Amino acid sequence: MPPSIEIQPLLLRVADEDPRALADLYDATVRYAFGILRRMLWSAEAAEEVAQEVYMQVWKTAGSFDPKRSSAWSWLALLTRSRAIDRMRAEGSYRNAVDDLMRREPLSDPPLEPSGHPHQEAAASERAELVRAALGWLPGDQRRALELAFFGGLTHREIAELTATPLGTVKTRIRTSMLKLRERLGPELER
Amino acid sequence: MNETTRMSDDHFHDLAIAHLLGELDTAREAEFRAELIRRGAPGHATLRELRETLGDLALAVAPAEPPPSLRARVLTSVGAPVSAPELPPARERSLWPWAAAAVLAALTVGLGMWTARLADERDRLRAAVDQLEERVAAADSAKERLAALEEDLDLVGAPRSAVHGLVGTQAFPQAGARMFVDPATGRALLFAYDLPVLGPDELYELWAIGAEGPRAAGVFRPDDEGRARLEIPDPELLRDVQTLAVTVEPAPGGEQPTGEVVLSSGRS
Repeated sequence: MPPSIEIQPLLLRVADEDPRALADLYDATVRYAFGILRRMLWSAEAAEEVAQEVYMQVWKTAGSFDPKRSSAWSWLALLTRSRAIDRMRAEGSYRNAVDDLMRREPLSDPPLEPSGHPHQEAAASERAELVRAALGWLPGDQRRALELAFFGGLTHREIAELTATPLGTVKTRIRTSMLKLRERLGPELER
Repeated sequence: MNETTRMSDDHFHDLAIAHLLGELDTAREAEFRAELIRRGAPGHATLRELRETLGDLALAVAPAEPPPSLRARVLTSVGAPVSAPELPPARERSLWPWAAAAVLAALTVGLGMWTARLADERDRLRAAVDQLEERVAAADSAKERLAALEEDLDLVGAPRSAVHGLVGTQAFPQAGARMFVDPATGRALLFAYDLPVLGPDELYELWAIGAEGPRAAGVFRPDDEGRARLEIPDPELLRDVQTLAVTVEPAPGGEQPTGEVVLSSGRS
């Protein structure tokens, strides 16, 4: 469901302190948010705790969401990533998570799990497939740098140290991969 | 001494990506915000496109099913209805009696486990409260930093502000700095970048050089990435200035420059 226009009204209703909207938003997005957290965090328990923090923060800060600046999904995804990085740094699980990330298969590969919401999953699956295909077009070093920055929570400089690569090269790889993804994914969908 | 240096698109993209990933420190965030203001609508459009690209990237991970108890915890805490979401209709209604019996049996066996789990849950919630209190303290600190950043942004982004560029000398060609001066208030900030790393007993010192010679205008140390921010303590120091220069000096700095010149506004 995330890459659809449907969650924006939910988020706007959450901003109006409508608790039922939070329940609907949770049902529509939690599998995706939890997927991000499981990708980034070392333990399932930590992912569960951070997921709770994420939706509590959604409840408290949905008023700061501005549809002109961001889609609802991107707002939620970046908030989720931010809370996960807070946890990684607080627990010192950062390096372990990065090691794990380095060992994982690239993001162009993982399959979607089955879901109880077939029509919603279909829309998400379609967009996710596009993204994975676009990632598959990236050279390995660019994709790896982007994954380490986004899912590993590493700064450009930390990636340079970890991969023994000049800082300028890391910046170029991340920038180039972002611009290529943007180009391949085409105009922003209404989300 | 006004100088306007146009930021390259590559540099702007790097800053925008780092901004979205939460990597920028105060000085670079100020630099990014100033450039975003300068670029106007196209700059904001680029930022949005990059943000959406990151949102797409997040979608590429495999979705994962959280524990069912999470939903109740989240929704209870905000007073939302906890009733379960609509599930697909059962395929075999004839299984209902067996299912009901199984549920009853599970409930009986599970009551003891449930009690233990509630105790665990209580402990976890207490820990979560402790953690939230720590975060409130961190948020207060962040608010203070944000207020300072906004003050910087007011200066950096104000159209009336004068901008003076300092470039690296021959030995330090990669280094540079910009000084923003508000002519109305006299407030002045120096943002330097790509400065060489210093020894523990050294620091950088800014000199405002006029007809009467150099005046010490503040000392600073860069961060690990060679970036630094210096607020000029007294606007009078910049009166009738002809040249700005930065030298390496022994700590804690002095009244006259003695060390090597690293940056200079290039005028004399």
